[in-house]
Amino acid sequence: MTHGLPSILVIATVVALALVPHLEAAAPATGRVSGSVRQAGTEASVRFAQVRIEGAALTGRENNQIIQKIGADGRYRLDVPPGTYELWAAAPDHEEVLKRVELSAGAALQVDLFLPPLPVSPYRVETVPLPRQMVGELSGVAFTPTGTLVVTTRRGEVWIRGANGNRWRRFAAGLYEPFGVVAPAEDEILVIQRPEITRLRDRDGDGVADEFHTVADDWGITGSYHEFSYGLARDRAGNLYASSGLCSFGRGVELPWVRGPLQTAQYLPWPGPGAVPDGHRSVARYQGWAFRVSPEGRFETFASGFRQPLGVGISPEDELFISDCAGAWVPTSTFTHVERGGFYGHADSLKWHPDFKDRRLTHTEITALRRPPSVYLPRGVLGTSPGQPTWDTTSGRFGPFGGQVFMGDVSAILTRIDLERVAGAWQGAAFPFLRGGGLRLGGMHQAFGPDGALYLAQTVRGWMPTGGNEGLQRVVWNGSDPVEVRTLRLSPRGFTLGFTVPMGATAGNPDHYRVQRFRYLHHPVDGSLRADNIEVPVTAARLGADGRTVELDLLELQPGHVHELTVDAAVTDRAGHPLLNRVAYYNVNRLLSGETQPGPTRLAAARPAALRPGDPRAGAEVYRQNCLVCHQADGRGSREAGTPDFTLPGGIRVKSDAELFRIVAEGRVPEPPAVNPMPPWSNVLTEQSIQDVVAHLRTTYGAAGR
Amino acid sequence: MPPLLRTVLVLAAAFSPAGAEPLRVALIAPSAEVAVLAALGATIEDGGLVRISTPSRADALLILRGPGAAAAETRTLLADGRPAVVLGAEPAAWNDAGGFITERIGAIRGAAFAGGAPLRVINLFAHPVLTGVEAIESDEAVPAWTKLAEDTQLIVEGITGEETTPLAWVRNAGSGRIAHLVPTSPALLTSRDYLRIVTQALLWTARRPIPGARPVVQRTFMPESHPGAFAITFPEGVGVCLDPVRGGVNFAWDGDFVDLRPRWLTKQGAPARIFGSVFYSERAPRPLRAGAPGANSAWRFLGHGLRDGTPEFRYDVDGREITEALRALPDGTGFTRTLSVAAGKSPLWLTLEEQSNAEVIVEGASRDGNAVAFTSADAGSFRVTVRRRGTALSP
Repeated sequence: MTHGLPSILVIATVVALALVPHLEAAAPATGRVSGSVRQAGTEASVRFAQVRIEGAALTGRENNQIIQKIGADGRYRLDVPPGTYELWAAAPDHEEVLKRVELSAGAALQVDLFLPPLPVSPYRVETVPLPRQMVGELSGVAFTPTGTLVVTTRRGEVWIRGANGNRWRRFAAGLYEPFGVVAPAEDEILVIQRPEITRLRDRDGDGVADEFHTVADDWGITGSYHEFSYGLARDRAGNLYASSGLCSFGRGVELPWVRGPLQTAQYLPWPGPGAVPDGHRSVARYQGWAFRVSPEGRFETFASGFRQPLGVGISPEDELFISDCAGAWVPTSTFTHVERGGFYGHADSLKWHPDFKDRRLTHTEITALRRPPSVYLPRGVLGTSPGQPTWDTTSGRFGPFGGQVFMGDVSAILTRIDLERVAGAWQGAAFPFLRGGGLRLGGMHQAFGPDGALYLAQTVRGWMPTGGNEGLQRVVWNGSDPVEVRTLRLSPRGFTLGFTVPMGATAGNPDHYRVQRFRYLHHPVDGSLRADNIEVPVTAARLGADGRTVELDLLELQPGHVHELTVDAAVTDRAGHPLLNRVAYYNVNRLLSGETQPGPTRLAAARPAALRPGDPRAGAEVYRQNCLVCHQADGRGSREAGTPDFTLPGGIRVKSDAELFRIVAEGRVPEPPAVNPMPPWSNVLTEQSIQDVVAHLRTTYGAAGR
Repeated sequence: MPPLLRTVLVLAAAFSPAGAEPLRVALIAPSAEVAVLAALGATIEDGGLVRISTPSRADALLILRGPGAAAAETRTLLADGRPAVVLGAEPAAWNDAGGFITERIGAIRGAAFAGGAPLRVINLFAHPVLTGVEAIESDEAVPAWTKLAEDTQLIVEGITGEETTPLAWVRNAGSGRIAHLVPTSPALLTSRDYLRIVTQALLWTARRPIPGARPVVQRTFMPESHPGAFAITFPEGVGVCLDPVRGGVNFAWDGDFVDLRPRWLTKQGAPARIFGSVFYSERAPRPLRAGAPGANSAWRFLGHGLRDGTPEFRYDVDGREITEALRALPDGTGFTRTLSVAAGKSPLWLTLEEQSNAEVIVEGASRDGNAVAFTSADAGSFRVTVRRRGTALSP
């Protein structure tokens, strides 16, 4: 599998000394640079490659550039005025290559460009075959202690595959939208369906469940299409944990058949003008709550304040963690250590809180009541709707991340989380782990198998096109070390990075690390922009003697902020291999001292710089990190994601830069043939990054009128 | 004897219980397909279904593609309500300018589904015709049938990419039943599961019992019910909606199938669809109570199961555990509720509601109008029989 993030720039200077000079009397006004584009090492042709030449001599052209697509012959030819240029070649799944070219009038220069393939991840994604009669809307996956694979489908079935074979059998059918499963024993399978937690047993030994014991059904349900019961997790004592998402009530659904009481008015009425921006409400009892059910079947509410808490997981130390999806009161998706009695942000669940249901808390009081998430998952880079957290307990069979958390997402992203206890509370960093490379959408439940692979149950029905996007995949490690930031830990003056392999000397250069910090706003608006976004200078980087750690000192460290770390592509291991992922988000809720309140800042005087003109090269990197999964490396879009083809006439070509900026920043409803809305990115990307990505789109796919 | 033939013989013998009149089946195909159908028909004839050559005397027709030269006679029989199973209908084989077969089958034949790509998923729904069938395996290109009539019951669906296509359906077409199976590859026509479907479809269309058919319990979103209600469909031809939140049978209908696709195939979802008329309904909350009919009894749903194929539902009413077993009447005209009551708070009250289309008989408990009392504090049971009005009560 190749990876889409890092880019190493191979820079060389080619001085054009008129290797094949034209000797005609009237020297032409241009020179020519031509050559081939091939894969480094193999010299194989590269699909969808293009070259771009850029220089001041091209003033008057969009972004001072000419872009040429490489055809089947693998060759390019550019006639340009004399001058100094940067010549780029790029192709999907390959590093970009940049050469500096000086060209005089009449010169003809041959420059062959060799693109190194992107670093190959030692993790590959495999699709697990499913029985042909199963509609692969997989909503849950678990393994029994003896290695039997158990999956649930949203159509209400439970299927089992024995540890020693590929034969599947249908263990149960007729359940109502199961959304998670645990299998603590061969003869004890527990499923959460929309109305209840159910224990399934096969009493007569015919291989099919014939007893469906209701373990718990104490929360309310309304019948709304968007109202899910999530889970399921089990601790070592046998307690079960689950949660209930809010009901999508924005359009005023008729709900005549509600289980339990119905409260449609919001706990804290929407204060703003216009329609409520997020229609998710806790209209039935305990929607937006997490529950615990004892082994004896005693139901108790456990914590409140969730929106769509679809990832419910128990750590190896039996602590409950929940991931929640961005929206009102959840500024971006979160991953949170959930403690009994805690309130985690969404106001509407307080309707059912014994202490607060009759006290109308204010916005300020609600924010004060809220416990912060352990980790924030910035929208886009780390997905949109995170799934079930799963701890790597494979004793090294999944690679060097033992004890860390892996979490899928509705989008085709697998996130890795490194947690640490700081002053008694869990917090830590989130990393992108896998994107693209055959990883499908909808991976919201997962489990490590007896083979050490991570199995992902995938379903997207109702949100994205289902064709080919659903089913069961597994992520397999090939045994070689990935070059990664393994851990990101808080230190007294900044952060300590732990690497998976010894790093080269470039890792000791503070200029190769960029840290930005920002806050998210806790409010009833649908999501939050980055607030107080500011760069924090890295003042020192000390590479450990073994090359496996780097201590970064920051000019200052303030609690209450997310810290975004970006490592430069120049940081490589000792053999020159770049990092597979170069970005991480550490949520500094508290300092090592236990301090949670930000102090006076020395950075306050810094003002955000005025916007520069868009830089298409920087934009290409932004595109690769954020846009590529849906829009594809070649810009042709994807039927699966419902994204448009940028290369067609019309479309983005007839839009102004300002229009494109607004679409990227604010999102928009789909324009046929696209079918999915474009999400707003202004809460993920800086204005400069959006400016850059627009420049990239413009230079790659053409301007208005072309 | 070849293993497949032996399998079919054993299977067919099961369809021919001692004393029952064997089903007489006439085989109909265009001349070019007669040999193919005869091979299939031989296996039926070797078993319990009797192959006869005169369609007008047949209990059911088995038609491959269409009747060819015998189109006029066959159309007349179908128009008169003769049960039929059609395999891979070809409108051209019906000499059918008037669209008779389209109207009769209840769908329009189109071009190859998904451009002829193989079916990625072949999904079987819970219908008596598919009793005992685990899977259908076929890589053939199938035609896309569209515009299914309102009363068609889709029982097998194919999926490729984003597209779904009907592969098998049944319907009550006026007075007679008809079934249509779309795939007909040569390998399928000799496969055990396919022959089983064909045989069971013949029995179903002729309203004969399907041996081994069991009640099906599906939890879903039913009309006029709390979410998570149960649809219990009996092969005898009766369906019951049991609502564990309200605590009783919300309604019962004439039917052996419930279509869950309205919930599955759209984001917004819709209640499951039933076919057939409702003959029994209740609305009042908590019909089972302990102490007095209006007592505010604690209620808890404890779960459900299948005991020897009989659906059972368990409740706790104020500390008294009840197990309710649901069975269809053998003639499909109604159902029984057998409530096995553990020792506990007495009396246990069941409140009935007036029914205009059903008669309700209570045995083993006292009844005063719509109030039924099980007065013993000891363990025991009582039975409620619900029978559609207009059918004779058996002694």
